[in-house]
Amino acid sequence: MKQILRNIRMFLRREKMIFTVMVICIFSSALILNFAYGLYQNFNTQKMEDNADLQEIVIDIDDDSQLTRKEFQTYIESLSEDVLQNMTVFVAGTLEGVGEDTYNTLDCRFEYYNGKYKVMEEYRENIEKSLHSGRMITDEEENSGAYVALVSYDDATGRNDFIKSIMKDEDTIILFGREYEIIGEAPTTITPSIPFLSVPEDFIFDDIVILSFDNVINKPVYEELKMQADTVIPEKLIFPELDLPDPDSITLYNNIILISLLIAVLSLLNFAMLYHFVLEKRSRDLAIMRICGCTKRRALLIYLGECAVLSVPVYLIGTGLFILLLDHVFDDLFIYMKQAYSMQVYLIIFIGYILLMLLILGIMISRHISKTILQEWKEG
Amino acid sequence: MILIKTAWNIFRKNFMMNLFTILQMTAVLVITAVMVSSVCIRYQYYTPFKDYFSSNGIFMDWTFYANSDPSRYAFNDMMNNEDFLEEFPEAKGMLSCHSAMMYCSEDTEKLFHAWSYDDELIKRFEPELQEGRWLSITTDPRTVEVVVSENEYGWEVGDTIELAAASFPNDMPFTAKVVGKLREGAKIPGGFFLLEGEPDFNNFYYPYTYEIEQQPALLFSYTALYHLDSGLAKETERDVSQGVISSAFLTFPDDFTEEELFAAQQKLNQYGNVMSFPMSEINENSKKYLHRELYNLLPIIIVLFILAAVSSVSSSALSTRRRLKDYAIYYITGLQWKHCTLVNLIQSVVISAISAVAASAILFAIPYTAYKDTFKIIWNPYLFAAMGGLVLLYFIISMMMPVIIIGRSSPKQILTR
Repeated sequence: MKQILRNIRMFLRREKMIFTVMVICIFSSALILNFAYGLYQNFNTQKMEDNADLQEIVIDIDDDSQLTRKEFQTYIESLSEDVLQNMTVFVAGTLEGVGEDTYNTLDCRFEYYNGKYKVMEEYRENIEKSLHSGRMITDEEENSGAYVALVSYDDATGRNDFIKSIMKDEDTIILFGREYEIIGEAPTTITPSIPFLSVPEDFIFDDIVILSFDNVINKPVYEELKMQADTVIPEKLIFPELDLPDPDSITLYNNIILISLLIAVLSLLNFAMLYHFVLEKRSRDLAIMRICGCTKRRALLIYLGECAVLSVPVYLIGTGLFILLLDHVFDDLFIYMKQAYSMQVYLIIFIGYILLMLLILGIMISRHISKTILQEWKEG
Repeated sequence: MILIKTAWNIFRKNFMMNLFTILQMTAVLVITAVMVSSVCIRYQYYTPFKDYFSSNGIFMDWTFYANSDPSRYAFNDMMNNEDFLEEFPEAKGMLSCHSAMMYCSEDTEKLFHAWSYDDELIKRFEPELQEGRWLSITTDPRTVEVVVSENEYGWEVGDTIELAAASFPNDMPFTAKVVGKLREGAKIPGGFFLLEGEPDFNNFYYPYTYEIEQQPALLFSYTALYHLDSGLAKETERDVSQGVISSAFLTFPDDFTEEELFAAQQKLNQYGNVMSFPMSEINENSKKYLHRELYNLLPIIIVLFILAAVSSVSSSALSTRRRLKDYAIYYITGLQWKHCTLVNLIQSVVISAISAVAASAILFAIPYTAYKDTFKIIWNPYLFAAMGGLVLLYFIISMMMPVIIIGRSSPKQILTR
């Protein structure tokens, strides 16, 4: 370590300009690498969000109307098989007794096809991965409107207060004046998950309807959804305009994602170029060290140690500045950037940078050291 | 001359290092060009009609249905530009999109909409085409040109398709030659948009995607269909309907007051199927939108400049530092010490020139590669300014670094070190 620090001091004395440039290089690499990662995540997320928007339609329920479960069921069953084939339904309505300052809607998620109701596949997969006990609602129960319920369970607090308030016993809750058998517990919403058909026919869905599709929603599907809503449940659903893809934005996002990768790579190469010069300049020093008994392996470790001792603190300062800029500047411009970062992410980027840098420099140094002492002396 | 020769010799001696610098600089120039083009793509929809947006007038969005109510069909099938100008005698002019109902001989059950455009609109704006060319302005009724989108009928560029325009009292059959095919998602003037939110120049266009529309788009010249119509009208009593639909501009003289403009908007409202906005509002919103887009991308451009600056500093410092002993020897053989900075500058000029040529070659080649849809390069003054700015930055740093490094040492110090 003493040797490493001494070498750095000597390098600073002899090559002040190059040393300064190297520090600037590492500092800018820290900024650029962290920024490039954030940029990539921001525009990738933006792209995914935009694509997701094309595959779902979020429909408001008119405040003045009363959309009952029966009416909504009639609407869904009036749609053609072509529309229903790849459609999943989410519909929500306020559940009395939960309280106003918390999530108080009853959510129903289902698919309807070939005259049968079934559990939303993605929802089923998510619940089954996180089940605390019991099981998920089956397709048969969904289709028959069985009085079964999946209740929320938290590892720290157990069942929530609302569930406890409607529990008849450990295995039963009373909802809408009916007994629902608790078949499973999972970390879901405060309100229980129950089959859509088990909701009373006169229950009012007053929140939102989300229709999701496997593919981009096309005009005929959209027109049919609107037309059937106007026919079966007039003036109850407020349809938004159909979202259209914006290829120019997608091109922009793709360009920026690629640019972020390229600038990350370029920022690394600058340092490698500078260090190559440093190696050349220290050929004579290396020859002297080897004459005095320093092995190639030890010389390699000394050089890599110098790089690490120089790079790590400068990189950390650069990262610190980036975090400040992220909070005060980038967060306003790139809305998904901040959420992409965590201590773990910073650490991974840092370790990645150091490892890659040491690898590249290690190869350069190994090639340099592999020369004979005489060759190194002559080059110096 | 001696300086140029010296610079060239030094360039040759450090070929690998210079090659690395050239590659790096080329990459930065290409990235900058791609970035600037990405921003300028937004402008390409504003610029063709910039004078309209900044004129005194009204931007209109006509729909088929009054108050968007499908039961209140209100298509202005009898009203073309001349009819509107009669209604508004004080207006200077009108530029609009029109709609014509058509069906093709291969599928007579399916009625689809076609758009036709005024000549001025055709001249000013060309949508992105997958192949072929945009409409030309022709008055030959024997040849009607059409640009189509993706379609289920297999229409390609060069095909002649048989169409029938829905008209009164009888439909009018005609043939049209496909001269161009739209790229999927290409923005076309007009379309089916209902104006929402703050209207700006984007509302003049509509991104047409066959996958979503599930019917082909047919784009015609208004004049071509009109002359087709009037040619046959001599023999029959038919009339191809080309009513004003979707986007339209109605311009007034510069001295037309705001009150008069408002009164004109009120008059338009009587039709029930139009939303209108003063052009000044559209223009202001458009500029805000463009500035916002640019502002959002500014950090990326700044990072690119930082990268370019750091690369320039590193390569320049290295280059000068390496060659200090050579410069000392040149000094002994007669070159002035301060002229060594010029040697470095000439070297930088050579490197910049090669990088600029390489970057330009790559940028020119992109439209002919598989990446033509991924990277769109728009050659305009902004692109040249950005690339020129980078090159200038490199020159400035290339001049500064040698001055700093060489200025701090004397030949004697270097040779006796």
